[in-house]
Amino acid sequence: MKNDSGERGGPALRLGEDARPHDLVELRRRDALVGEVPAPDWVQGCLARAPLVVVRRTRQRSGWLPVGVRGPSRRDRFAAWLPPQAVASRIRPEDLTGRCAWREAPRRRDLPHFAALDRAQSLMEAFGLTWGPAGSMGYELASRTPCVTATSDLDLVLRAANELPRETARALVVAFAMMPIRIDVQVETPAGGVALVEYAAGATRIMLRTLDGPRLVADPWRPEIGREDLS
Amino acid sequence: MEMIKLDYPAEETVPRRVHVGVVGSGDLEVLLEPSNDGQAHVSIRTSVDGYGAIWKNVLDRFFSRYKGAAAIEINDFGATPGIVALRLQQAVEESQS
Repeated sequence: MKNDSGERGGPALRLGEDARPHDLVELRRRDALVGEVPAPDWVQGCLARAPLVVVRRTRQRSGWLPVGVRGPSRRDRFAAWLPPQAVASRIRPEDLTGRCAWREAPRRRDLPHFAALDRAQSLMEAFGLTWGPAGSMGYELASRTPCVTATSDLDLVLRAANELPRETARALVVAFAMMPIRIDVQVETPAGGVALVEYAAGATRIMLRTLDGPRLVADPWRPEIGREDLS
Repeated sequence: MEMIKLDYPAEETVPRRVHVGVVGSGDLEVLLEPSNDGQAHVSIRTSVDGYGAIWKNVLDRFFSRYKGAAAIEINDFGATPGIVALRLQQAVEESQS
């Protein structure tokens, strides 16, 4: 994928290559975040506990990364921009899988989500897929602070540079449906993200989340095919 | 959790019942079917409280163009207004296809 805006070289993390939606970014400096509106009170508290933000799905602006801060409740999300020099490191969902970060998680016995990751891993490995935990689980594993609750869905990201066979998608949906918690899988194609369950169902047009917003497409790997004017 | 109900005038009949969208973070389900009184009724159940004004704005815009006498049930899991508008449009397209 060709990259965004007119940024210059240096250590900058670039969307689509170095930083993608769902990635977590560790901040070098907490005060480097710039919001479009003043930050609510909870933001600094959350960043003091864990200086981690998640990359949002929108285009970079002049090299600044679009990020979001996770707050204490569902409605507490703060959208902000991060200058590239304030990035200390990046943690991708698949990095958490690579080191099986959930195996030694302290809350493994308290919540079924951690065991579900073991099962997800054997499934994904059986199909040779690249994947990792995102959402509250990704944040908990990366930050080593509690974030998943008993009612949380388990959000997973599945990387699919090439077309995922529909039968594979269906098999995954069936297998995940048998797990004791709800598993929400986003398939990331080079063009954007689609819900695994929607892709597996095989409707004529499905929703693709792109850096330019959501679109209805026939084929999430070839979004230009079969595109109609929506308005 | 919050419930929001909105009503709109309608002019056209809705051909059939459709279901679009998914249960999942940042997404929503839309069930669209013919209403039984010639008007449009929207019933929204959302996991994120406090966005009533934004919902009304999105639905007002949708019904400024769509005139179907539809009963619409929305089950929302924190979708953005852009995704809500797209799913509504998808439901209308499918109900007319």
